[in-house]
Amino acid sequence: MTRNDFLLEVLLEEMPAPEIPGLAAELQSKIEGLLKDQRLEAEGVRVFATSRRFGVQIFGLASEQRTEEGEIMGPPWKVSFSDGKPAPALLGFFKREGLDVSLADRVYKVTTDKGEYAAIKKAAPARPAAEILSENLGGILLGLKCKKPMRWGTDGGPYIRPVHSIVTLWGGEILPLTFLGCAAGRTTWGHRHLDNITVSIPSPAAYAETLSGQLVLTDPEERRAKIMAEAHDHARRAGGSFSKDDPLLEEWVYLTEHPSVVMGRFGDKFLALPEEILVQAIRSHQKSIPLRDAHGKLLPQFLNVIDKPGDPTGQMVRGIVWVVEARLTDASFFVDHDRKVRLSERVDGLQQLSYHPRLGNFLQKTGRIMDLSEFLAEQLGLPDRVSDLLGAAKLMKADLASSTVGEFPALQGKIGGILAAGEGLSPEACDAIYDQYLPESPDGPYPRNPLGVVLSLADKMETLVSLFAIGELPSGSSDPYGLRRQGNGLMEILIEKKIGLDLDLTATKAIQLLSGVVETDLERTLEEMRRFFRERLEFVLERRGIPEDTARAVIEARACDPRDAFLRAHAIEAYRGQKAFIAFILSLKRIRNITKDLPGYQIRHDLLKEPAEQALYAVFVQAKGAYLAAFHEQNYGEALKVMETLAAPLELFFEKVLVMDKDDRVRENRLALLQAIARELLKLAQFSNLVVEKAQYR
Amino acid sequence: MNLQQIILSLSQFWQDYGCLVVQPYDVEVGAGTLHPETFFRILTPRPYQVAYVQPSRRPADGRYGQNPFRLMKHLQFQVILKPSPLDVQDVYLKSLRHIGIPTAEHDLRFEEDNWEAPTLGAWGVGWQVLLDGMEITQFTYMQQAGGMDCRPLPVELTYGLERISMFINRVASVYDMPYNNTLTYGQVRLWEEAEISKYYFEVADVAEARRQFDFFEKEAERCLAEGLILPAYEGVLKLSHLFNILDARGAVSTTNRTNFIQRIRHLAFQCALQYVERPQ
Repeated sequence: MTRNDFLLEVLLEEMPAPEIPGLAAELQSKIEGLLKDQRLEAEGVRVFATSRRFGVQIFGLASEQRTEEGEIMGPPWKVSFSDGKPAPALLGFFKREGLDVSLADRVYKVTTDKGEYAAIKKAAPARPAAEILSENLGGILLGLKCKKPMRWGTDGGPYIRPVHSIVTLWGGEILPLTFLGCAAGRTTWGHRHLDNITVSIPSPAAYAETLSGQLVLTDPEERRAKIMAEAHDHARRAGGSFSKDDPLLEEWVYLTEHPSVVMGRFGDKFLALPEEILVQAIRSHQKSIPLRDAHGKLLPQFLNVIDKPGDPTGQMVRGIVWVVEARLTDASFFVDHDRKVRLSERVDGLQQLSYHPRLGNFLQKTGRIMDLSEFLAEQLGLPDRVSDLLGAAKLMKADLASSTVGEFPALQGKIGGILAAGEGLSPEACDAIYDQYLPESPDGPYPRNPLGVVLSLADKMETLVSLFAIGELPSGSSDPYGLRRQGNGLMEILIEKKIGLDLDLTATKAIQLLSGVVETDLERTLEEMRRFFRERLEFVLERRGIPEDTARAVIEARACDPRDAFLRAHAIEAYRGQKAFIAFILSLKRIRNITKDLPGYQIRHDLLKEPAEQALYAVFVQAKGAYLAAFHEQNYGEALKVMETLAAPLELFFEKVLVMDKDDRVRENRLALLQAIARELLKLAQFSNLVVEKAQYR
Repeated sequence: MNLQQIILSLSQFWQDYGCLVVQPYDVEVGAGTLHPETFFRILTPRPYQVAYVQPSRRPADGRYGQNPFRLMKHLQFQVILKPSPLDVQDVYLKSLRHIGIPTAEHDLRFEEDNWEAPTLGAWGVGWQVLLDGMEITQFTYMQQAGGMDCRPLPVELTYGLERISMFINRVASVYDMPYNNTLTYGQVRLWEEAEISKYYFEVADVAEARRQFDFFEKEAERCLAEGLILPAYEGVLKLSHLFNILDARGAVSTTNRTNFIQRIRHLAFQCALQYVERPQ
């Protein structure tokens, strides 16, 4: 069989750099999937991508499909042969399929649900690879996912960016294909630096080399290596270092077609700025990487990338330094401005800052957070920290009135923490202000100390409750105030920091603090909060690896203490796969089915007649004490272990005892026993919600 | 090339390309997109090509004339091409060379930056164009305006004129750059920056601005009820500007911002809808 190389290149306008690696990976897997499904053998599949082109090279691709015998069905068996010879029905079938009559002895019988049929193995025709690629590539390209597909022109798109050319070469020949209005050819464009130079690709094998002659390094690996080597070079010369895992490095790979790393240096005077501001200005605005010395201190040097073979006159790097210094000059202006006013003097200014037209200003919100912090300090056993805590809570929102936060909103809280030094607070209290918005992602970081935990909890709870109180609930895809994220953060802190807290109680307190601000219906708001907390808790538990059914089971039992729900879920997960546990759950599901919608009955042990029910009762009575003791210590693993002793007696009970006895009293007594068992276990989780495959058990 | 020449030269370039060249709108706006020549024209199917300079006021960016890079009011050169031509990137690069930027000698990049104006219900997909790390243009394929899909799709080029001129003239402060052959930008504009920054940051009556916000909201509603689209839209522009003043004063929190934006957007949507549905 002959083999050939194949090339596909799509040239388009610059794509969003962070999305390109995902797009390339998806293309790779779809091409591999196509080759596999279509029985096309290849020696290698290599996807490539730059800022404005992507595609795939398939090396040593078989020119035809691998042949494979497939079963084809003929006429019903009973009309296929007469006297052992092929009958007209079979002969007709052979003719339609182009099969020779001599193959009749290979016909065999197949039984289907419609009856018996004649069948024969036949090699499917091997289709040419070029034909299959032509048919499928358009669909694959069109199906590549992107976050924000766009339209252009009169009827362009939707696609990631407007497409300018397509190259498809099968060996030296163009493979006919039209994609989004572009007919495939062999012409593409070189680097933008070269101003519209077109280049003709002679063959797939010559692709990378032809383009590198036009300053395009198509292979991301090559660009990455170049970036790394040059970055290390610069860093060494500056006596500094950077993190090899810095995500900006990977972004640079896809921001360019021919990257060169350059090093700039800003004026030493800017090093006096708080590090957070320096890093924010350099990184997020300029996509530059700051360098640090051996002690982790920032150096005035930083790295950036240009999409050029080099910067011979240094004019590009001068331009970059110029822009970075402009940013830092602006930042200095704000910081100097903010340092002129003490943070505590800004607190009154919060009166001018409206929180929400119906919820007053930030000074009032600060007051509510202070009260709630005091309440939380009590709940969490921190009564001796109250004065420190209130000092921090009072100042925590003051940085919102500062110009630095106006300019760098991502630094809210952090600026407050920095400015709070010199206000007579403990270092811990300053850190608490600094950490008040944490966690910003489920991976943390989290507030570093208990004061920070309290401030973060109080702030989030106040925000949720106050907006719920005025009916600003998230619904569907609409969550304009980002309340779900706040709710998640609340759960994450409690779980991560191993803090037991009754959210019902806390929310009630927070709602009461709103009296005089808004008219609220406490019960209604509380009920909405409960529903919201249940949803958030389920989400957070699942994000922490708890399966949906377990999450729901523990939440249905008790949702108001997230940490406690997390512990119960964990205990259940530890037991889940075990045979005995599965049997136990099946029995509990049975109990739930039998006792559903019945009133509660009382157990009378004099009515327990059968040995199996007496045994069950005895084991239950014995287990209950140990269960409750473990339960109250939140040792749920132990609690489950104790209750599992009921598994075998329960199974025996269901096997030997007929619950639905003719005698009402006997029946109700048996139901009462089952209800009592279910009631205890329901404190832990609604076990009947757990999904258990019976097959798993048997 | 001084600022004045850059403006004339860009106008010439886009006139030759076939654009209608109009004048700035005479109500305060924060961006060239708010000019009715963009906001309304991109809503209809008829092809349209227009270019204009639009002074854009952003009270929060005021620096009393003391910061060499930031301005309370800067000049945007705005181009709308509907439908977007497939070679628009090339035409844009040609326009840069036309005003004296040798693009091949610099690092010129198109980095993803999707523009969005929540108050107008408008958004697009595109880039910020970086010239040696400095953002000189916002390049946007507008996808929606006034909450409605744009068909065909317009492309919007917004050149930051001061930035471009600083780059070309290699000056460290915007105020040192030549406006024409005899006057600097500072001689022409510093006074305005200093006084109006002070006004927005210290003198403007916040309580009155809030009241005016309520007033222009009602006024816009009244005009809409009368079918007066453009007067209603001018009300929307006033709201947007008052919101910017309040924001500059630190009088709008994150939470409150959402509320203000919703109120402005609601009216902008109504204007867009009436414009599209009006009898031709």
